[in-house]
Amino acid sequence: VAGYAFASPWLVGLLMLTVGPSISSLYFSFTEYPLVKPPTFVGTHNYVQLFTADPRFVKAIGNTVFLVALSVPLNVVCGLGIALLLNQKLRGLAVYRTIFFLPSQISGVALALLWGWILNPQFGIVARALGLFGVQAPLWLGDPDWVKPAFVLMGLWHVGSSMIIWLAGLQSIPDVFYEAAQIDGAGRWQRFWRITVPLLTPTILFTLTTGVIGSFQIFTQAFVLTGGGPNDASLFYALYIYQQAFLFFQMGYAAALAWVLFTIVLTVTLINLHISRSWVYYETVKE
Amino acid sequence: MSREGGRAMRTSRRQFLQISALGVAGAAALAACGGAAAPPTAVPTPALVPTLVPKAAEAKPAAATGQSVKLSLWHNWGNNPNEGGSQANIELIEAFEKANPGVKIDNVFDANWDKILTALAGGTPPDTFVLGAEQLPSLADRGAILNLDPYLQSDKIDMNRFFDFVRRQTSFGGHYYAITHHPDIRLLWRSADAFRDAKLDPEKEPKTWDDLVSFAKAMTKKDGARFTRMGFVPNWTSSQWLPQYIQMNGARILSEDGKKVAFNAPEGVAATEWLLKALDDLYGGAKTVLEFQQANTFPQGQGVYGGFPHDTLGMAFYGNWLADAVEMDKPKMEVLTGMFPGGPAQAGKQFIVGGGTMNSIPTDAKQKDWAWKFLAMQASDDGGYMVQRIGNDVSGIVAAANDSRIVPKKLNRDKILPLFQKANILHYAESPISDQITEAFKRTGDAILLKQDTPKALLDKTAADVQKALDEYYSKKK
Repeated sequence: VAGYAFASPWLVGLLMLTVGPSISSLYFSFTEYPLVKPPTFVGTHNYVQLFTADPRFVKAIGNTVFLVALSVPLNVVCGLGIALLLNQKLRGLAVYRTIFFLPSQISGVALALLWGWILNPQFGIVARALGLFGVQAPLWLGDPDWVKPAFVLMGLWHVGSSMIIWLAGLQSIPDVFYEAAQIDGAGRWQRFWRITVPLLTPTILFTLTTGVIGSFQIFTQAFVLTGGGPNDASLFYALYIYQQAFLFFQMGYAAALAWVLFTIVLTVTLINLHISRSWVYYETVKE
Repeated sequence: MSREGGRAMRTSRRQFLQISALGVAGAAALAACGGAAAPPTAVPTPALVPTLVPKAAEAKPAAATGQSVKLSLWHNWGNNPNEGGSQANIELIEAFEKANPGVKIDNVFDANWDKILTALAGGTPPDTFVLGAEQLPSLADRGAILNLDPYLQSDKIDMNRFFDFVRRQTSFGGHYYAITHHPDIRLLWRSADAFRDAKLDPEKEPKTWDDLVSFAKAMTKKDGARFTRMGFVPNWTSSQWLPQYIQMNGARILSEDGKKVAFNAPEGVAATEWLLKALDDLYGGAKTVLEFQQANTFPQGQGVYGGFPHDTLGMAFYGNWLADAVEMDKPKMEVLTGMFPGGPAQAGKQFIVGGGTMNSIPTDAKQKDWAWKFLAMQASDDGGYMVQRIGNDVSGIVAAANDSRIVPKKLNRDKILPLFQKANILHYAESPISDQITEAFKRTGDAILLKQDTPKALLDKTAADVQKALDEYYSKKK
């Protein structure tokens, strides 16, 4: 009982601020709720509408899936790459780790504004770097073909958070495995593929799962930098939910969209977890 | 883990689930209570209003009754000396509190639209708040803000003291729902230096859209392949360009009753085709313009606001607040102002586009009468003076806007003020789904500039989408 008493502030917060609103939003998803008037029950109308008569829903799903498909693997590869580099015995390693981690602590709006400058096609640092190789930078945020890749690039800024997890995973691999492999004549590449990767599969699963969940919810950068434009090319799902709720006064429809997102993310996560049984290696001994 | 521990754990889980279930039920019950406190479902009809809205005179002086009254005023301006609207509120509040001892106003800065809507939905709104003109129809038609007609009548406030377009944007369906904070207009700005540089007479206004293109060509300058000055960029405006050009070529956004789309009329299509052709002829398309915009970023910003005072533009179709940028960046710049010429289908006509910010009182406000007293002060000539004393804003009250303490002292005020009298169109659709229409214009405007289809095809598609949204809204309203 004492334990629950101590945990009660958090429990109350969870119930009042997460569980309660979640249940409310499920109810609202079956209503017509124009925010400033009480909701009226409309059954499954919102769900039927979004699956049969809303091209912007399809567009938002397409944009978000594009982002998830590119951003998550890229973050995994970059996070692991940086962690491997920072898992050496070097002088000043803590400083390097801090430098790579710090950017991930910048808040969303500040980050969005910063990237607005970085991607400026005329004098942004990316344009200048490309210019050194004689490549003209695209318009990035102003070009419907390049705006989503621009957001994928922005996503790399948070690689510092996953780097910490990768580092923890790398450091949990006992040195004896590498020593034994080295004695048996395994090279660096073989050691990486045969020891590091298999023993990191739980970390890979974790970063994939959290990465997919996070990427499906991208909002701030698109809200600040493009508002979903040009012509909905960066209309990501969470931004569309926001527009429906707070611009179009359709909170019921927005709640239905949110529950569809929840279902998609839950399904992807369950599939991911199911498939993981065949490729994730846990060091536990089965009885 | 021991068996004993495991059993203890199972019991605890059950208890945990029971506690959780109770909590969830409690949360759901609270949510339901929140819903019950939601605002009334219908717009008050004139006959009902007196019963819903006590007369302003019934607000007894707080000091006389010994009570203290606390009002809340929400707006999305920051507490920043550069924000004229914010500083004006500070001044208004001080004056109001001095005139009404015992009344305190909680001046809430940075209250954005989401926060205001959430508070309205939760039944805990501020007593008054600042909103954009384009947001009024949505709230008024849904009954979220108070019909002010009874207050105006009981306090004998003559609305004819306000600019015509201010009266139009503070009302909906024949009733007033707001008191102007400060209106704004979009006008045609000309840089005298750029005109002279191009051997053009700065006093000669462009009278047609063809004039705009020919003047712009003369003023455009290049350094090799790079543009250093663009004479005029038609799609750089301080609001969505599409609804403004459509109207300036004689098409309406919606029908008179607001229930049918009208913007895809031939005049609307012709306006967008003209703009696209102008961008092609002048600069080789919208992409070059975007690159030029990105390359010309100044401390005050990109596009017109940052660029006009830095001679990167010869003419600009922009809001009256461009005077702020000129004052900050180039106070001695010689600028000329005028009306925007009508399109080919509106030859000889001229336009000024209106917008602005205003105060409303939520239907669920706790201190409606005191909130009204504050708005009534804002609606007085003195209130109008305070609104514009600090920043470059112009009062919506004609007499206050012409106040001799203001006019000679403000930069370019003498050139801007007469144009407020001439504002003849609004930059948004006066519809309960105005935000949806604005968003649709934004997408369509992008698609037209990107040439994703012909302007006619894109406008027709948008018209079909907006009509569907209108039909849905009005069928639900029935």
